[in-house]
Amino acid sequence: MARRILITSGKGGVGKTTICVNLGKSLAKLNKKVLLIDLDFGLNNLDVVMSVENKIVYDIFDVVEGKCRIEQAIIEDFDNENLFILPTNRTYCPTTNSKDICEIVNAVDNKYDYILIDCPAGMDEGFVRGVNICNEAIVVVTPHISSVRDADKIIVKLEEFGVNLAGLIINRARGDLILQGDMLGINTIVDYLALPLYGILPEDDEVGVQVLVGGNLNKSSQSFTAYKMLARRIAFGESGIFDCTARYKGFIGGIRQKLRKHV
Amino acid sequence: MKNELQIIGEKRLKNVLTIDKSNNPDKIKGVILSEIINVLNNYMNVTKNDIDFDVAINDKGGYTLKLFVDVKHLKLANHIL
Ligand SMILES: Nc1ncnc2c1ncn2[C@@H]1O[C@H](COP(=O)(O)OP(=O)(O)OP(=O)(O)O)[C@@H](O)[C@H]1O
Ligand SMILES: [Mg+2]
Repeated sequence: MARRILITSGKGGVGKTTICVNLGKSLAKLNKKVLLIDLDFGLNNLDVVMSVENKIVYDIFDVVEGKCRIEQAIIEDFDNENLFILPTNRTYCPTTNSKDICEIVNAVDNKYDYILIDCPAGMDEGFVRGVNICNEAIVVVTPHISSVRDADKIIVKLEEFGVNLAGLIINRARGDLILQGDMLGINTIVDYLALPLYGILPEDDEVGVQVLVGGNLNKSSQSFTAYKMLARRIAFGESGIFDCTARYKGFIGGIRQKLRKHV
Repeated sequence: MKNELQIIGEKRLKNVLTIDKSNNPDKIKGVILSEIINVLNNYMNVTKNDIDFDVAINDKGGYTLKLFVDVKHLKLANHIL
């Protein structure tokens, strides 16, 4: 049986889709078989971030409508045989019920180690659909008051639905600002949200480049390392969490901090 | 090292989370109910299922608490005293 993890957030644009793809890639590199499912109907982006937008013939709605078999809608990643995506590519949000989606997921559940579900932001229909098919949830926040506030609300909702709250990912953390005290501290966020911290992902231009050109994160990037640590923590329970402040400590780090502030 | 900005930010975050929680009777409900069960269990054996509990916002903008408890046995007096 797969671990079905809902990647959710209160606030939009905090990095759920990006995390789905890169966590999926990192888990796949650990020899885990991973399926990504796009539940952001009508506002889908998982296909673009995965660079499979030109490969889509059928999507999840074609499966629901009986136009194809589920295997025909699932697309393999361009360079990793362990990673797959079940996309959606409608420009509108067709009416579906959670039961149909649930049946689709149940039908493929035993073929994967992980099913990562890209959830739309907020608590609307898409969120409820996601809650109904997952067995655990990861909440994504950025180190900003509005994002943490909305995450707190989504955590209450997840508790109401009885979802197992696996952990928290803090995305777009800027080590330089945290050290200077110009950004909410990691401990503050973790204390207030009272969820186990799964990972910290740095603010990194490399993420934008990845989506721009399509493909994988550069192996020498901070993000690549951070995702690798996150995947190992999720898959094997390892304790390592990326330290986004490390490169801004010490003499050289101090210079980096100053440069980043003034550039 | 925390500076003034970070401390202000943390205070603002705490404030907004507190406001949200006080506007959310469901969250408060869960917390109050588990405390009530703890207290009642000093005197009787009750579980969540024996209790009908609700917190609702009343028309004065305050809260009304409703509590019905189904109890089969009270604990013996010498357990209590
Ligand atoms: N760690 C990061 N560093 C820099 N940019 C990032 C990072 N994570 C995400 N982004 C960028 O932030 C933007 C929003 O990311 P993404 O689409 O993954 O968010 P989302 O939570 O899925 O949004 P939505 O709620 O709209 O579905 C994208 O342009 C993405 O490239
Ligand atoms: Mg998204």
